[in-house]
Amino acid sequence: MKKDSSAFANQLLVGLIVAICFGGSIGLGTVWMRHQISVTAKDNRDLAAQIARLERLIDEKKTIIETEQAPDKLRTLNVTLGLGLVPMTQIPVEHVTENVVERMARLAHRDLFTDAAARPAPVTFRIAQH
Amino acid sequence: MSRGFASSYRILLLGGGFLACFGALGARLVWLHVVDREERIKSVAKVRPMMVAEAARRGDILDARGARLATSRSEVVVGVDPHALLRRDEKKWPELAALLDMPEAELRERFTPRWREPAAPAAPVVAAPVMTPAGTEGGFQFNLTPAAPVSADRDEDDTDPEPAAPGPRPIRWVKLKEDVPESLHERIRKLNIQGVYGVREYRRVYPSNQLAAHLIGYVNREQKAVAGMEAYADFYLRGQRGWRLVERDGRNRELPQFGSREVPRVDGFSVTLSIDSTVQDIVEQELAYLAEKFEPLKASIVVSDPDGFILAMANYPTFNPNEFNKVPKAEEARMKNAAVADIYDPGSVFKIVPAAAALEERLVTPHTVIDCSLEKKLHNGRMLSLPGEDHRMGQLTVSEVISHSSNRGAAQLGMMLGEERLHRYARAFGFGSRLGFPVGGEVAGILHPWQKWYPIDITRIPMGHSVSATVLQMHQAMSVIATGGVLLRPQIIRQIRDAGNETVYAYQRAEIGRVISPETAARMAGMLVGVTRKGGTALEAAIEGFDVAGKTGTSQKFINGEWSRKHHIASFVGFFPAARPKVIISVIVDDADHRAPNGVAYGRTVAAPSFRRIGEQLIPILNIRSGGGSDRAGTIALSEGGRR
Repeated sequence: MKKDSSAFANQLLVGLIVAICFGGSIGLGTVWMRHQISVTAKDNRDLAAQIARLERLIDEKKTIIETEQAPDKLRTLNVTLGLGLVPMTQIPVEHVTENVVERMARLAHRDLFTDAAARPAPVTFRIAQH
Repeated sequence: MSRGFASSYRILLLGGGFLACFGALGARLVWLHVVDREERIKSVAKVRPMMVAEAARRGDILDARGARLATSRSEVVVGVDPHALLRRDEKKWPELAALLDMPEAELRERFTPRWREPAAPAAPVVAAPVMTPAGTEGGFQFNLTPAAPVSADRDEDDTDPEPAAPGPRPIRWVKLKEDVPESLHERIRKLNIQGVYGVREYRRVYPSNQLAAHLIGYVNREQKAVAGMEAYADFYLRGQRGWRLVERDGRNRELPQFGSREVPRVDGFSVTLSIDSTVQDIVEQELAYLAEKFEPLKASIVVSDPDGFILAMANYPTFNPNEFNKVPKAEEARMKNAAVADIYDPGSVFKIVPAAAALEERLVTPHTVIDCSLEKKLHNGRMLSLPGEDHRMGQLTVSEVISHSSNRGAAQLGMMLGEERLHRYARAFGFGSRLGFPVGGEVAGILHPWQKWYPIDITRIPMGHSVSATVLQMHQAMSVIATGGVLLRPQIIRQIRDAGNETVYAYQRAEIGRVISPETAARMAGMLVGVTRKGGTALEAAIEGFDVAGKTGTSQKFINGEWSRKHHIASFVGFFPAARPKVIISVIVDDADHRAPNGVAYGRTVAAPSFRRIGEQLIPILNIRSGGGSDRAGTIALSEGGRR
């Protein structure tokens, strides 16, 4: 049987191609992975920046609202818009320090013990007429 | 067996070529990564690292109801690197000029590239900021090459991130506009003009303008806390800047994946004050009314609760912390918190000290009768003349000495106590020493050691002369009666909260010490109720439906070496309801004589009505309930000689 001298070269070349493919795949995978890491890191950074930006805008709006709610501004608006709002004064409430139940009962039944209540009610009779 | 594709020499040649290419590639890699590594890394390390600094947001100062008294607003300083501008962006320039509210010609002038002649070599510094492009996010960025420092405050800068070359240096930073709001910066950013930069910084804003200005203080343009709570609580408010060390690409863009170190920024804590904006506004409105009606030199009003927390503190004149730099040099005194930094003779308000001390020492009772018609009295072997009265007074009980504000009665109470005891009680009431109020540069007032007193002082100090005190000291002395005999530390901070709104520290009622017993305090409160009742010196301070305890004061001012009869300090310090005090109010008006009735500013005519007006407005706001007919203090006032 004739010895095939190119068999070793064939195997070497196949092995080489497989190795190149394998190494290339690993390399491409690594590059892709690193790219994905970069993209994710950038996305994270962008998100953090956007959150910070929105927080700053919210802060700005809050400050504007607070400024518009300052007492002197509200007073000016009250005059300008003719709202006629006045500062709160003492609430007309009678503060009760005594026993509330007794007080309520006394108020509810105060008519019972007046002179008018003590006087006997007039009695009337209807006389039948035939 | 098949010969396969290797039978051709071409295949071998191709394989050999492949190997040669890979070999060359490998050799080049070895050259770059091993042999020439140091040189390559050196050049990359010069350009790629970048430090991005992040400014911390200064914490807010809030009132007791959560309203912001001081806050931070992010603003941007917009600038341009004229050398980085591109022709394609030129059509956007008019729009940019309109947004910046700047004439287009001026904008174009600033966009003109310029150079600066090289200066003498300066000492290198570690970091020079590179401004954030308008289209990117972040604060200052620093490259780590030696260069001259630059600040956003500068109008122009020629800092060049590239290594210095001989010859003129390009000016890389020209300021276009500062104080640009975030919303406007957003619109500028969307124009996407290359070379237009924004440097972000926080500016302090006081939304309520002059409200509580003396308490809040202000932060100056260099972001340095100068006065008030801003300075006192700066440690908590300022936060901590953050930074991150990253790498950048050839277009100066951050490469977040190569971030090596990061210290996140820590925003400042917020400080919640005991100040109630509504109460503070009422007080400042009252001061404005006093200023308009009497045109005083100064005036101060303090309102506190019985736990020593200040609800309002205001002075006339005042200032707007948003415009602190517009206060003329000659009027800078208006920025001083006069309630704690200026001293006055307390006048008759001080009479509560000898009266309370004499009661506490059981030398007198509220019924004890004192002859207030005497002109002289023997004390320690000396015949001392007693101070004069506004009108003739005869035999008065101790209660009447207080309600009628008899100078001679107070002097005799002082003589009963003696110098040492009177001095001890005055110190215990808080006179002559700082109370520990955190803001405003509190002073101690003047109360000399009793060993240094002149013999006549024992007759003058009990009526509030020869002693000086701050408004706050007078206020706290009256608080001793209101709190049942305890001197409290006046406090203004309720809580400190972190950026996550978690309470870091909560302040509680702090006692300095007991001065008099609760029984003596109750008796004093009863006697002081007599002041605002018929026959007392301050019926004008009475509030319908409430027992008001208080004391008027009218002290002459010492002008040009003598006690003036035309310049007075009018005061009223009191609290209500007398039996269960909810609020303590002090009104002090300095030199309101020229517009006062009869040309003399008495505490009764100037300060007492203010007390009543403020008190009436506080009733619904603080939900103050009347003590009703069972008022203990009121009972004492009636039964123990408040009115005979």
